[in-house]
Amino acid sequence: MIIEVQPVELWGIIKQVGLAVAGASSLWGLVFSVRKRHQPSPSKISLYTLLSLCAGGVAAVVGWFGMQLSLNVAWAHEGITVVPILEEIANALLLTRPGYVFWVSLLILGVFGWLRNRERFIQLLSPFYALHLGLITFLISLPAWNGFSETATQLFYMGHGFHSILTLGSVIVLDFLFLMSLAKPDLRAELYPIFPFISLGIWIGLGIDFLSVALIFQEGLALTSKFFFMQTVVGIIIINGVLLSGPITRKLLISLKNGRSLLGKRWVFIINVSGTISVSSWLTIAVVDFLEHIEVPYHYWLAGYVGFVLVAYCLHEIVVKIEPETALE
Amino acid sequence: MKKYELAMFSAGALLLSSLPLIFLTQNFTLWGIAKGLYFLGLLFMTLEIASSRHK
Repeated sequence: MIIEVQPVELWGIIKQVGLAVAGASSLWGLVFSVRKRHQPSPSKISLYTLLSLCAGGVAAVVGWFGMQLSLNVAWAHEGITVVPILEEIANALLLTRPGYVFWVSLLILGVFGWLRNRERFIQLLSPFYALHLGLITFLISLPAWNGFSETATQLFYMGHGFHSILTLGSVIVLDFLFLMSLAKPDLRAELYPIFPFISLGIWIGLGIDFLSVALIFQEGLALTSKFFFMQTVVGIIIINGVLLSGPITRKLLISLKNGRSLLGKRWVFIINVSGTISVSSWLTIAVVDFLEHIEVPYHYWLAGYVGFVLVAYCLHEIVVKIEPETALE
Repeated sequence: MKKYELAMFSAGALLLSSLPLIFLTQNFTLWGIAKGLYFLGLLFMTLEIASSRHK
């Protein structure tokens, strides 16, 4: 049994989660602002995605700096593993350096623009998000560079990196927006009609992941406890995701249409548990991807995962106690 | 449950069921079928959302 977590793996997790959240914020911020472009009042939701964009941006840049300082990355996916060599990681960091500088400058300019002339900034929101999305797509799609863009391994690196915008990032941003909409009912009319598109985006992201893994299947397959654990979590994500985005969301939308007091205690519990499983499962996959130096039996992985879900659920309950406005009733 | 939800739910269940088979026999047939079902569900979902937008 080996349990070893290297600093660079932790920096890599922070960078990946940050980029995923920033990318998803740009994507859905763009969608919301474009949908409202012909209307007099700006999209309120797209202003909230600015917050998550900034938070993701800070995390990504901190993670990126950390990786620069400790350049030694091991990396995997779904238990089907291709570990980039050190030179490939160094190449990618070098290639993306101007991109990071440009992106951070753009983010800082955006904050100044928001503070100086809010109305003008809101008019430019769609191109602002589009530019961010383009840049973040480039940055997240190049976690490693082997110099041959057409090879299966390089395409795997790209697909594996990019899908996080649609999956992990979208799940986190959606959760954030949903919690905001509970506290601020005026956001609901804008947010809820988009639910099916966000679900489709998440499922397409997982599909991209499956396809990218297929590219390196022969080379990367290793039947370790980590493989079986990751596959278990993927199965749980699919089953829970279908229930959450389908019957559970339909029930929620019907009950929220005319107020917040139509859900019974049982449904509130089901929704909270399902939402917690969704976010914590995606985070588990993202985090375990980077933990290349942990070799433990399957039941250890599973116990850690169940513990993580329980802790996340308890944290949610604490937040609800502190901020009762974010509670479903 | 809608058609695409059923396909995806089955894909998830099949994926989980395929793991003991892979562990015991290293046979990936069920696992492959699960992935196929997933993409079928994704196709159904895309078609349904596209058609609901045109209604």
